[in-house]
Amino acid sequence: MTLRSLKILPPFAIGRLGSASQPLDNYSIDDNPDQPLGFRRIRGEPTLIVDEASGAIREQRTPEHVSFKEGDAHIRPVAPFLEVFAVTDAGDSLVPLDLGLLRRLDPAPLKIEWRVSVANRKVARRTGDEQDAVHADTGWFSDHGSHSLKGHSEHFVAGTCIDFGHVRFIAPNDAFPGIRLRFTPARGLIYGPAGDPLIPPERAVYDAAKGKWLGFSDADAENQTVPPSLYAIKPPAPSWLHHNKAISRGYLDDTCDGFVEVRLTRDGDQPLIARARICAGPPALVPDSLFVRSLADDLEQVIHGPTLDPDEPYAVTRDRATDIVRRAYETVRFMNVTVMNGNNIKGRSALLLDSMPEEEAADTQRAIRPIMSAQAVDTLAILALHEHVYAALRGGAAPWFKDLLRQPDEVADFTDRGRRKMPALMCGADNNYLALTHRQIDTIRKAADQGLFQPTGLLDRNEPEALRPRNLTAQMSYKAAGNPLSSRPETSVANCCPGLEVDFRAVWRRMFKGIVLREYDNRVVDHDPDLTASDPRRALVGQRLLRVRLPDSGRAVLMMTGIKGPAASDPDGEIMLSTQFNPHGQAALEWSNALAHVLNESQGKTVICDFTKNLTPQEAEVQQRWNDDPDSYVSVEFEVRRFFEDDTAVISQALADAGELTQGLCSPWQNDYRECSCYYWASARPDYINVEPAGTGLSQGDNWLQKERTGNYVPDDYVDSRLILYDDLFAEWERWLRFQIGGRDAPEGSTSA
Amino acid sequence: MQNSAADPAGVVDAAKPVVASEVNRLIDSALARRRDMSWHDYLIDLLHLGSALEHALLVQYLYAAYTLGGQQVPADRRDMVRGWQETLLSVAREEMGHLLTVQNVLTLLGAGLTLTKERLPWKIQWFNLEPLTLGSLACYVFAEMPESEDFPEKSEVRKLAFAHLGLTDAGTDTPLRTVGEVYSIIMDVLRDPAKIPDTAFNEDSYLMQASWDDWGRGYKPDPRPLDPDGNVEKISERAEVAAQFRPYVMIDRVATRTQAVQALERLSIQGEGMQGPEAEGEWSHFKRFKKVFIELQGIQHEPWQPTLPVPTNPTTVPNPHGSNAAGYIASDRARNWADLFNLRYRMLLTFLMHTFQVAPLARADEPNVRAMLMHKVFGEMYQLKTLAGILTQLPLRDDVDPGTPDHEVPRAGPPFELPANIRLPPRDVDCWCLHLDILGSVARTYEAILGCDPRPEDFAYVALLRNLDAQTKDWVERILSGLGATMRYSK
Repeated sequence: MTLRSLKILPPFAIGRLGSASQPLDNYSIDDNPDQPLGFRRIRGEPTLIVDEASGAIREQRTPEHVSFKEGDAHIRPVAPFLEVFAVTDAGDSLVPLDLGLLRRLDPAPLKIEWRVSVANRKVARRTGDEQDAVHADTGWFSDHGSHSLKGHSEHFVAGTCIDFGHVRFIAPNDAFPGIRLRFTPARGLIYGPAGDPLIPPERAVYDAAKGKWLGFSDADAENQTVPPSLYAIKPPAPSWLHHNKAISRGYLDDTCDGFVEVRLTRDGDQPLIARARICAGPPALVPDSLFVRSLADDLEQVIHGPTLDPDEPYAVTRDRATDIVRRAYETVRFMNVTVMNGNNIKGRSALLLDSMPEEEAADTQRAIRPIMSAQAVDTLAILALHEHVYAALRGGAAPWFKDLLRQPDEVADFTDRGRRKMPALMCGADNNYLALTHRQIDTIRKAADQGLFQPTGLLDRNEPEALRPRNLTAQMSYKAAGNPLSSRPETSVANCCPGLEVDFRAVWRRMFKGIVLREYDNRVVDHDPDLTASDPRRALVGQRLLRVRLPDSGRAVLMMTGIKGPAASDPDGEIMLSTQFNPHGQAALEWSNALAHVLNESQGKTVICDFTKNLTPQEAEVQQRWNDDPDSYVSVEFEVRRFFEDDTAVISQALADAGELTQGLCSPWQNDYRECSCYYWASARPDYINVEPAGTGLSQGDNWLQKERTGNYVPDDYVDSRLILYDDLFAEWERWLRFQIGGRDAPEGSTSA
Repeated sequence: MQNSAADPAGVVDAAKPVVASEVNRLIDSALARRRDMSWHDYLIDLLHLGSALEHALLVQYLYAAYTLGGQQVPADRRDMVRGWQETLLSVAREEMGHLLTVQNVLTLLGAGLTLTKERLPWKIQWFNLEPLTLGSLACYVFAEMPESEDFPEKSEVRKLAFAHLGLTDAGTDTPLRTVGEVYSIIMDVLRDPAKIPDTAFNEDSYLMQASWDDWGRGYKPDPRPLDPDGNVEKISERAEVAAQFRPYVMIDRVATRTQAVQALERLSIQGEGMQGPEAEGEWSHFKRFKKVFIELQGIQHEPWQPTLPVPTNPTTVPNPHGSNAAGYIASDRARNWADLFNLRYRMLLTFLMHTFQVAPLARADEPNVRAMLMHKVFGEMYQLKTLAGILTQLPLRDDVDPGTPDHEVPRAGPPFELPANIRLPPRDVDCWCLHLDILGSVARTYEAILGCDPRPEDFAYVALLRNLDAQTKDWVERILSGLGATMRYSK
């Protein structure tokens, strides 16, 4: 038997930070049959215990209770395994590469080696200085010891580094013969310059004499992030309450992302190499809930396209639609809907509190308005309504609300009609109202349209998909032995602005070969270094991509949409909303949906892209609207890169190098938990907890970020001393960010489910 | 609308053929103002009738919508049949808007809410719950048709409607009293200060009324794009066509006589359409039903049915010698589900009435119990939709020949039956206790359902309903505790 190729599964594994000595046990979540609308149950799953001395798995056990913490202050990290699979000449399925297979191979392999290269480019993204990038590379290794991921930067004090965690080639044995690697992420520490009271000497790595990160301000930076100033700043904070003054404290964190490679060397033959991606992010602090739109949804759209297969069995479609609704109410139950709706709270202006209506008011320079009727937005009432929808769907009703879903090009529709569409109250990757993926919307549409004509009784469901080289969905959703749910993309939020585990916007920047777009909008910021001097693509830097035309279907896809709002004097009228800074009233569309058809039809093919023409830098600063006049744009042909590397579900390195998937995230990430309100990712960064009905019938509960749980919600104005503030998190985030189980603070001590 | 076999009010007698003029005479007599009534009394009485009509109509349309579908519909006809269902559901939603607007007018006039159907001079049988047929659809077209409207299918519609109603004079020009005419009488009285003085209108009631903002659920036309001068811009043809069929749930709050008249005029126009040149935007009920009629007429020769084999006027009450014996849900299993349907229908209406009762205490600028009750109403609508789907899948009787093809097995249907009295108690505490009472009855139906040959999926759905009800129960008990009320229920 000979090997044809290798793969590492899962192709994308999420590690989660924590300082506990033992990694988190394997767990899954499932419905509670006694409380089918309640929180999902956390169930211990077979957990692989690695012997520290030998690097081999010494046993497998299933915990009765899952403990997310050791003591009060140490969160157990998620340390995922990555397994190697092989395609042999014996068949077209993927089979585990293990001792048994290795013994059967002819010729026998000489060596199996691993290499892990990760980076943290958060500072480099902001300063624009490549020497601020922090890289770690193990080089090739084949032993079973622990290999540290030491992150080095040109701007670090000599001899210092950031500890990104470690990796280990697990020694296979007869009981556990699989070839696998384990990635254990870092402890969630903050690093920075010397002299900062929160940075101990052993973590004072940044040399302020070499780099400009300490004291940096992005106010005048050419390539600001969106949102801006996503970094720890010198007080007072947040910046938007203080004239947008954001002077960096010079902090870095120990998150990273990059590649895991395995190399199998054979006598007389080319070595076989496979790779996968890893990243390290914050813990999944709400382990029993899932977000309404996750990275898995976006990746599924990349793999299968924006529309469903018309032959998909109805039962499968309906299950998917029901799952979306389930995740919707799992999200909404952590939102203080009254606050998120833009209501005044106990007389205090809604402008003082962070919400989508407040963002919208700031961006459009218009008066703030609640989204829904101010009286109809109690959290428990809205939750119950969602639960009714879910129950109805589970009972067999076809979805009736497809027209109430926000279409991806309606994200900047700020009329009452637009804002009240679903999902409501939340932010998308384009900083406007959240839309589901095209594919999710099509799922609900199909379930709605076909429901009327289904047979009676239980419906047939699909069998799990077979693991085949070309079955990317099966590869992407593969559950490696020992890996908890929180290591998988379905627990990573997708409405990245900027995100938690990854900033998925970063992946789209190089989709058109030859140019680099901004991750958050359609401005061309760079070209590929290998373009010749006469290449017309060079001249596109600074211009804006307006439209993409697909030759196969004839479809023309705009990259922006008009911002609409209510006419002030005519409640039934709408107008385009423009401002001094956005005179054309246009909003960039988030890439994942905007490019869905492009990817579906044209990966590896040529498309025609229409750009603005000869705009000055000042003119190109503002978003442009589409103009049919051919003289107003220039058309250039581009090859669309392939999203995944050949025959794998590994996001192509050509799209995002090590460190680039996380570079847009907050530095340090703890800052984002303080600054980003829950309408970005409610079920991952909850707002409203310990919620129950009061004697008035209305909801009562706590703010997740209030220090003392009193049952009296403290609205978050960013400065209330009852709230957990920046330095609290920088110093003791593991203590302050409490796990939520069943919608409530998990008991302190050893937090268990 | 159908003949009633034994009608104490003497509206019709199925034993002998009737003519439209006779029907009109009886209806006119039922609509006339009694000698002992003040004009205010009379207006309230008519508005109660209007409310009953809207309620009866929306239930009728819902039933017809729920009967559509099934595997037997050919693939190339499914878009059309789905369009029919959407039309019926849209019109039903709009009738709900009408119902709420009428309640608002009643509130303006200082009168109470009513959701009963006792006041109908047409007995309930005139608003049959029946599967969609050309005959029943002709009745819908006829009922919403503007008097002066002339269209090619008019005589065919009249013929089919009259035949469906058991009337023998389709060939004459005798009109039949329509819903719109009731509103004409109401508006005539309402407009007249000599009959209804200005002091009868309580503008302070405005904030207590149901608003579109709360109840409309987004069902209204898309905002009209305006140019910088505030003029309406032209919309695309596609948007124009979409606007014709998008439901527009009109719920008007009214503070003055003029607003009340205008609100009722809008209801009528939505049903019948504008007189004269066609207005832009949404099609009237009449026009939408007419479209469905033409399409349904077009497939009459085809060998398939667009509807499931459900009965007319399904009922949980056995009456073997009555006119509706064929509607009795004889299967125990189906009847248990029908009982649940009726109870949740009652829950919906009880929550609805309660929202009006607590309205005076609710502040509109912050979350309140009134809005929470409103959400309960919508939640129950969703379950009624699901339960209707379950009922139309279950056999009407258990004594079916096993060889009968599935699509021919008579099915049950949602009965929409209510106890005769669904009035709310006057005390708020007792209203909350009533919710718990109904939940108790609902809980007993679950036992019956799960004890009677349940299907595997029944367990899962009942578990979900129990979970929902447990949350509601907990919520109500907290409110009762907050009110300090411990007499009937305590937590």
